[in-house]
Amino acid sequence: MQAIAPVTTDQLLHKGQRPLLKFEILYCCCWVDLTSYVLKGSLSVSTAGAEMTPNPVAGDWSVALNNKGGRFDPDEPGYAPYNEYFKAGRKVKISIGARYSGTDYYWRRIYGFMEIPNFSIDKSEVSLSGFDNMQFLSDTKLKEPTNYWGTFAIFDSVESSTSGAELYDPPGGDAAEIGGGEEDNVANWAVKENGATTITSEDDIGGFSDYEIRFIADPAGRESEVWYQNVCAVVAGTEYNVIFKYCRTAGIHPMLFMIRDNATSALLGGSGPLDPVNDVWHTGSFSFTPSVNGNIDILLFCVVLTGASTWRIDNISISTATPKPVYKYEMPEACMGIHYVELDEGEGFKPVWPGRQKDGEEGWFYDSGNKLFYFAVGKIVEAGTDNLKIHYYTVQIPENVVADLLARAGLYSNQAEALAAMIYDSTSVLIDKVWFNSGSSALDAVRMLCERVNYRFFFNYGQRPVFKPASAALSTCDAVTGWFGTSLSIDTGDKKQGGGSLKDYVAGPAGGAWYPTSYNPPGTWDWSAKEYILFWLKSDRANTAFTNTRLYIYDTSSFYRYWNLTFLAGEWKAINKLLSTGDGESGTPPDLTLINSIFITFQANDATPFYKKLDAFVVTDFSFIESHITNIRDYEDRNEIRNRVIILGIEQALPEGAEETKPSKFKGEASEVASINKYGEHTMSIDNHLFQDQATIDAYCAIYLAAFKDPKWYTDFDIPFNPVPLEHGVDTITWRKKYEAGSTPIDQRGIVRNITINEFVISYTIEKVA
Amino acid sequence: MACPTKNVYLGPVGGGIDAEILPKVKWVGGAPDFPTTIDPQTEEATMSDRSRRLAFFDSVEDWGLGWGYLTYDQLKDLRDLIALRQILKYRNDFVDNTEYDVYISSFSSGPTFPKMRGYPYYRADMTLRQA
Repeated sequence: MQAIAPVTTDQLLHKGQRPLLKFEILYCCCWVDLTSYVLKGSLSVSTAGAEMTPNPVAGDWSVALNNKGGRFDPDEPGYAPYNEYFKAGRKVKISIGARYSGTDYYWRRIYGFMEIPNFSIDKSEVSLSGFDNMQFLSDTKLKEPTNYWGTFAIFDSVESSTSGAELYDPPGGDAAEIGGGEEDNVANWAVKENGATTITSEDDIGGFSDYEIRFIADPAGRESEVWYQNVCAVVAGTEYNVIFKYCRTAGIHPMLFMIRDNATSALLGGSGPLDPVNDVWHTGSFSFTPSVNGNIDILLFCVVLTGASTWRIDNISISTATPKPVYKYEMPEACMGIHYVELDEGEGFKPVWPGRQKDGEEGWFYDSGNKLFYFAVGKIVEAGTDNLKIHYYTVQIPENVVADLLARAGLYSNQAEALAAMIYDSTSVLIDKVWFNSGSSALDAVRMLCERVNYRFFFNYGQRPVFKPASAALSTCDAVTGWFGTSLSIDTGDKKQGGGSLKDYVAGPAGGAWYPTSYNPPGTWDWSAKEYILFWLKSDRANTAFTNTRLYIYDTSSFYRYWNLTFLAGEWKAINKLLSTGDGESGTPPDLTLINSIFITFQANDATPFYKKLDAFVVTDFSFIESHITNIRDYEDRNEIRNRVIILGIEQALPEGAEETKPSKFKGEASEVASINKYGEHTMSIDNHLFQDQATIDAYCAIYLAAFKDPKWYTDFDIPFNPVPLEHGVDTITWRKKYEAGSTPIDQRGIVRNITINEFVISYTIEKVA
Repeated sequence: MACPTKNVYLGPVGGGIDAEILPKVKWVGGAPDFPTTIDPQTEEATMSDRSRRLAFFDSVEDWGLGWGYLTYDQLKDLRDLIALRQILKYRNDFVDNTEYDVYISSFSSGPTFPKMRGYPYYRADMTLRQA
């Protein structure tokens, strides 16, 4: 909850209020108060906060303003600066407050941005609406190659094979010859198919030599082929490399560069369809191994549907290849995998795709165990200097990635600044490979990070980013993490909420000895603005069987406050203690801003064994009774039930070939039969490559199943004219419901899961906790 | 000692209120009563236990002004104020020296003696509402 001092709780809850609101826009570096133009009943705000699922939730707002005379209309030049106030992207603040003791107090409820204003001329109104900073994340798209988290290394490429003598040696030379034999002719080439197709020798435009072949494929809707027969003789079982330069200068049709056996017309090898951007030169390469001795032909093949395509071909090379052992590039120790590879083969850095591609002549692999990168066998790589750029992943902490995304969205200048502004709990999680698909938004990325660690992300009332765990409870007592005691376990059969209660069993107590059960997770709690600490307690012996039964809280200097606990044997007891006063405390009271541990401790009176069971620890921010709230509605929300959880994680291996389609993703699944039988099957499917090992996937299947298998109970109510600045998804409150006069009031507690402000009436949705 | 001059002021914001003295409020018989109506702005909500919670907003006041013997030029001055079509400043020394933002919410006028043509005096009634 936002700080309210010097306003008191009694003032906030008083039955007579003087409500206030404030609507401001940022214009020329100053906040301009436009409250006096706000039309009655038009202002509404839906706050952002932690909700049930990891999907980030944006806050939104809308308001209508009196525009009599067209004061705010950009087409009314006589009203400057009013006519410049409303533009898309304008920053907006909306605050709700009240007047107490003659002073106006406001609490900001949203800091947002204006969408396109909507002017109603007939009604003399302007309608405004927008969202909070989440809009920036939604508008930020991630693109290759900067859509991964890591760095890159640059290597000298090592040639993949040793070439033998040049076999492309046309008698008298021709325009495509490499080396010193080049001549201005295509005497050995001929048109094989179709009328308008031509092949000529032209002056060089690619910068590789003096001449080059021009092949105009113009067969009017048919196949177009030129060829050079009996280029050279090849020997069965010998591997040959073919390398050539090519460029399409006109048209849209792909071309194939093929090698054929002259005697049998059998295809021995080829480039695959070449379909480059026009006027850009490329290097084509492939290898082939004939099965019989004989001469070979070169065919250039093009299917033209309409119009013509013009190709330039140069520097054709055919040579025997003596394969060298596959060279493996040693990646840095920090490398957790390869994201993206670029190779410069004389025409600038171009991507090389992972796995075996196109008949084995492309692609790369990574040996993660030995951190070795290597090209696919069959890919022809020439020797080069600083021409291989390998982008690789490094281990990342989710909160740092969120901070990076905030910086990329332009909200902060760098990660450090974003982290300083962000309110977050450490995730204690490391992710080996962090990337997001090209074209996805920063908001998608944040959602995946939230999903990976079951956190929630939102911008709070002051537009500070918040990255926190799903639960606002102090401890759900569903796990022993952070707890210390004599013999701890989780009792899943006897509980007040969630997956179980925490049980501490003392088998052999000594009379007079203290037996504490303590909760001391990393970090501290600021309880200075909190009201009560609440939890459930059960023991097989009543408090009267012990010398003392107490709840202690300690600060970081070991100053303490305690409360005596009373309870009956074998019955759950709701403990509810006002934090500001106890039954005793240290000489110096504890600093409630630095509380770091809780002790539930019993002093034994005899040697009888006993247990303590604890459940659902919360500290509350504010309390209402029946005269403070109205329109109360309790309901069970079955729409949120998910009793089968399936998580698909990262691919376990790179594809073995271009045609491989079999998925190899890590997969986990959990379900609960009892819930399925009771409510029908409802599946939660998560496809998130940030889950990168089976153990994590199995653990999160269990976490999400426990959270969603049973329906939650919610309470909706309104609080008119009371501007209490509760925070969505952060605050825990108590309230009391009561049916007709004379009935017994029922105390309730829960986490604020939604806040909607309609002028001076605030509607809450509360997720009830036991 | 002469009585201090008391005036009623009504003029545009920023125009200098002293320059906008209205015609003397003239009457026959008793002193002017300057009728005032206060319209309290409140909202009420019924809570879960049937108790009520109240919101109090700033009240809105209406002031009535009347004239019985205006010349045509004086009447035109009043009509010109209406023609401004904007929020005005108002002060009535007969009541206190507070300045209010107001607008003219109603105005009516006519001859003081309808059946006496050639008797050039007019009556006028104006209601000012707090802006």
